[in-house]
Amino acid sequence: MNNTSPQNSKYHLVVLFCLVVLVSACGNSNSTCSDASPKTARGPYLQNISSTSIVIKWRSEQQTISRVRYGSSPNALVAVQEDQSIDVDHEVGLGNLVPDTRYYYAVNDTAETVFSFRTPPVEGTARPSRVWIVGDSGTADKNAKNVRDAFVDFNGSNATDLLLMLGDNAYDSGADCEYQRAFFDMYPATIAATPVMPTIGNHDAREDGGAPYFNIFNLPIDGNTGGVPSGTEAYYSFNYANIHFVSLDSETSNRSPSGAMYSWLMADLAANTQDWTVVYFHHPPYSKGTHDSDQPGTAMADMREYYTPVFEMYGVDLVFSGHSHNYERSFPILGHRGTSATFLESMKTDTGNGRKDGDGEYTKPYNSVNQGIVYTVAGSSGKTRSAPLNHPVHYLSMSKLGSVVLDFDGDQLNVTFVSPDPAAIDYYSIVKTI
Amino acid sequence: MKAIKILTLTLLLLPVLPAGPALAHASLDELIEYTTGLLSGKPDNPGTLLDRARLQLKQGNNALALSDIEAAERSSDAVDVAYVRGLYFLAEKQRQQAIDAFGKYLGRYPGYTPAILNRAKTYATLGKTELSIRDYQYLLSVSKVHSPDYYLELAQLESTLEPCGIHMALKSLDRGMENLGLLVSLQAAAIEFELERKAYRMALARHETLKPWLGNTPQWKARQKELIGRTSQFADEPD
Repeated sequence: MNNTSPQNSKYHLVVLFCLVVLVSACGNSNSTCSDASPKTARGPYLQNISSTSIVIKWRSEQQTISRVRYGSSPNALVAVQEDQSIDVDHEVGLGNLVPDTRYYYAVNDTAETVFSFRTPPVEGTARPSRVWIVGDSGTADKNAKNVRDAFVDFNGSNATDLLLMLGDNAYDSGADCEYQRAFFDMYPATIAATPVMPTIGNHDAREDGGAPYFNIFNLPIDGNTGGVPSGTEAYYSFNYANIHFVSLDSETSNRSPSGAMYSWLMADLAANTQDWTVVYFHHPPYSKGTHDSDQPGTAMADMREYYTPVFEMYGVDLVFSGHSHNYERSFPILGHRGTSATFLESMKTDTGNGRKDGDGEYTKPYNSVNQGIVYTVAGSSGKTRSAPLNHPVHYLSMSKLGSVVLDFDGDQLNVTFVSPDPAAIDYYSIVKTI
Repeated sequence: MKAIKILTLTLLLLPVLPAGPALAHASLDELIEYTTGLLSGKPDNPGTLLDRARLQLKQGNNALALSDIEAAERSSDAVDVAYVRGLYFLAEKQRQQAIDAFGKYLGRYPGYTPAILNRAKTYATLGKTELSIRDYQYLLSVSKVHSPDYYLELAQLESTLEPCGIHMALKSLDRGMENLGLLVSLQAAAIEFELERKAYRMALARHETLKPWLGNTPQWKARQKELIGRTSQFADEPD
């Protein structure tokens, strides 16, 4: 293939863009962010967690076998799981783990460093669980770092059980080298201790249709971690404690009601018996941020017109998206399919702010359908830009860097926007009632 | 089922339709600006010209994209430029020209799956079902990653063929489930095809396979009751 083919021209662009972005963003980098560069060590990072199993992945600088030593005490990593094949990219699955237990582990390249993770309880069992959500975080720059540090300060010494990524996880094309900077180098401590469950954004799909994304992440496709098998890593679901999570693909998969994702979602949500249901995907159904969901024929419009009825029909509690580089958080709403001009006040199922110290928490019965859903656009974990921010479904809209933290505790969910800017505040709660 | 098929054929086209000019995308703007900067130093670089052409197409700036494509053709060769030219033709709704361009590109790079998929969908739009089916089958033979949608879209096309279309469609769906595992999305479509050919017992048998995941849902139970009713009411027609 000569160097004018689209693939090569794209590669050329990615390499050059990486160079410019990384040198300007990182300042101290002499990396060329090229697939021709020597691979940089990365990880370990956690994938595909269930109450009895987990996948640990990492990349070593030299080709080696894959070995994980682990145990329930940091001083006694007595169990060993290994794969004798020689490679720089490593993937080891651990099974027969005990639910709701902290495990300590070391991988062969970092034998002196002991990491830890906690298995979830048996599916359906309520346990206080913290979920961190970042959206459009892939800038690999000071903004992303500030958002990360704000979360670290907020989190303190608490455990974080899951990290959800809302897409555009590595700008500009989702190339492997971009993931190195924007993901592996940005969140090393978090991803060694907290399983990461992403969704694919438009930028992640630019590099070879998302091939690096699908190589980096091992996502549940067979229903082994709860949910109905999707058969593809592009969209999937899983259970964690008493929460059902659904990651949809609003970028690369057929979004139409006749597509595979739609029929799978209907079945998956119909079979879901967990107390809480959280759905996330990249393109927001309701946004007047840096992207306008009123534009017809877009992924945003498709997700609103085709998918929000399904969310309502099956009792979804929260929907998160990115794409717009702003923070927009809705009232609990129901039945809005059209453009923003067609939104009616009567579509709000609660007109308050959802705060215990304000208008009161939002409430909804357990296992109920056709109740209000709170939609959040949280695509400001790497950059923000001014925008109209006047979509009427939203209680609050702002161009502020930040991320979102979900704290589940039995029948209560507390949601907090965590920003490096102390003036950028949002929080609310949902309480499930019998 | 027919309505679903029509809807599918229409919606399959969405990814290949041009974005409207109003779809301003800030990041695309930045990239266009960036590639323009690169071209100021090397205005004839065909790779960068094609990069910018693709970005312009995404922005809905078809005329600007064409200008870059023609410039790339002058400094490269027409075959290497053909894929992006095909995207331009699609954006202009010149579908036969798009098919020709994708074909030209695939002549040199036969494993380039975006070109195969785009050509398959364009054939389907033009009603050239057999050619579209051939491309989907080819896509499945060369693609490293199989999406359930590939099998579903192939089956929906095959089902329209006479006289054995539904049989072919079922075989494709079963092949998908052999490769990807038992999937609700594919099995649900297979159940509809079984019903269409009045193979009620087969429909019921396929429905039963979904019991481990869906057996407790009211929807699954209601469908089972309906299928049992049909099975006892009608004898299956021979395949």
